[in-house]
Amino acid sequence: MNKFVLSVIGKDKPGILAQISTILFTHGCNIEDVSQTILQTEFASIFIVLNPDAHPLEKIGQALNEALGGMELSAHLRPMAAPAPAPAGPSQPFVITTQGVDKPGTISAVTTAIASLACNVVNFRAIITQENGVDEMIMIFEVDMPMGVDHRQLRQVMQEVCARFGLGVSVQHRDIFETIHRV
Amino acid sequence: MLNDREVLSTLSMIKNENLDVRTVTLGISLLDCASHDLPRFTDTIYKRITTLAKDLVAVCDEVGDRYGIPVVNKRISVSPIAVAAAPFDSRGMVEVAKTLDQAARDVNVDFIGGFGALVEKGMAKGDLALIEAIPEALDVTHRMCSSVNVATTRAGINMDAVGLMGRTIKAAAERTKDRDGLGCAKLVVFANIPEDVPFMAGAYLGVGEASSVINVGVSGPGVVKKAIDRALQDNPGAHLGELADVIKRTAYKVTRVGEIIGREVARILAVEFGIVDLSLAPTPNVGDSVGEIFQSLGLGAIGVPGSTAALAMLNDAVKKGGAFASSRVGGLSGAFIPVSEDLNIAAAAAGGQLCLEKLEAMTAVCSVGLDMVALPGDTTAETLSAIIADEMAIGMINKKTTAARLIPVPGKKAGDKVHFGGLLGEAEIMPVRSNGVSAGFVSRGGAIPAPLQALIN
Repeated sequence: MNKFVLSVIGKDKPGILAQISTILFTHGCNIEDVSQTILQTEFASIFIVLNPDAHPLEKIGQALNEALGGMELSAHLRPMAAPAPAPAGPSQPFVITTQGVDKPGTISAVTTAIASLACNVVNFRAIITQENGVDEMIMIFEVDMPMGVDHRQLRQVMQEVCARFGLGVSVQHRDIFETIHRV
Repeated sequence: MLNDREVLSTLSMIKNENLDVRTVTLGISLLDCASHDLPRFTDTIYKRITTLAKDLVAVCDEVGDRYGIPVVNKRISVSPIAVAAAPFDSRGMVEVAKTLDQAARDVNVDFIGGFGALVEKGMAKGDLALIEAIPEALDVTHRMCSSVNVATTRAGINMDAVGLMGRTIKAAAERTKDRDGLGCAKLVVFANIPEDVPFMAGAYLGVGEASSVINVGVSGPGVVKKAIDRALQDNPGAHLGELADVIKRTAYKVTRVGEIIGREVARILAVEFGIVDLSLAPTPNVGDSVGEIFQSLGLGAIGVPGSTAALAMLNDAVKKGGAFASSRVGGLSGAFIPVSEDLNIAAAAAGGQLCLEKLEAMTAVCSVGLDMVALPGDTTAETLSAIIADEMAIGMINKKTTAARLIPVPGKKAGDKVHFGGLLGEAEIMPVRSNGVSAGFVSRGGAIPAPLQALIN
């Protein structure tokens, strides 16, 4: 199956998705999957696109960048790799939340600690808030914790790394959030 | 994918608003342990309790830890001892009480409930022996709680039992006078007692229940107060209907926590999951108070005019939100107003905004009754019985549970401070108007007949 991955980054404004989808349509492409987000003023999106007529990616890329360049956006395309490797073993969903003053190196240290237990981050958000005139960062990691890892072990590792940066941390099974907030 | 608000508001409820699971209570039936032989009976019930409950505390801690929700108390409720231990006299009953206490200590639960009797219509031999044993049993044990049901809507009020309980409370206070009458803080007199209460001191496992069952008591008055405060910050003109809706939504969230924890604990222990008791149960800590909710709703203090209406709204909204959140709701389910266990209520009682009579009026619309009320030591047994009878009448006529946990503190008078410690808290003694002038009524005994279920105005 002929597929490619398209990423588009740049200043957010109305009409971006309309431009992208129209150009893909005129090349006979079909959008299979898409995710987009906006961070402050910046738009970012990733598409998985089916290219049944095998149009050259350079051509499609050129058409996209010509149209989007004037909108302070850039597009990047690459062929979709072979099927993914075998899925990871069974895991449990946990949510790690840290809170504290934003310091350089925090995200690197925290994510390295998460990776040290083979936990896979499936979703990550960082929210900067002002607390008493100081930038405070709340980081929310949704992770898949392998069944062989104990949540107390994960908590201990997280507490150790967060203590170094003066961060508060909580580690909770994901179900509690859905249970409380969703009908 | 979770959204940020779901994560942040959950964390805030736990860290800043004292959201917790107040109690996971393992109900254990002792009915099949019955024996005429006292050592055999105590041996059997000790083994039954310590076997079934040996992992209770560890499992509750493990599950609470996994979800990041503290399970504050782990407790045990057993079949009414007056039934299970019916052949024994009061000395035997005291031995049973000691066994229960020892079992509670050995499995490290903070309370065990069920040293009780159901005497709404009459008292059998075992019931009398148990009630007679209560003062000594509460004196020589630490973790054991006792409850006696003296009235129901279908049977009426057993005034002989009400009279006896007044004297029993006095005796329990006297036996524990060196501890401000602490024994009475673990003794409740009920009307319409539910069979599945997880909260102490009224927890017991009803005779209609399974062999073992997990019942959960959720709390969260702090969460409700903060939710009201936030709603008023966003919309200072919010009317009461809107605030009732806020309470309802919040009660839903709080109850969901109890549901998930209870089901998981029951699954691991391989015990049936019983009910969630969706009560607002305060502790003597700032920010964990039912009384503070009244102030958030715009009243000067709990007990001032408007308090009964506010409590009615609060109680109903808690039930509505909670009933939707749980597949099985039971127990007391509503708002508790225990005087000494709630800093704010204790302060209102000390400040004179809340008097005994207003407290009684409020119990007509909330889930329990005259709870943890310290009274002058010279309050007569007959006046205690009369106060209990009034409270039972409210429950009987309104087809609801009411209860009285009264502590006539030996040697102390109205305005004096009493300190029970821990969750039982501290308070000033509330004055009793017209003490000692109800004996003529109470001493008549007999029964107040069950009320009509029609013509209900």
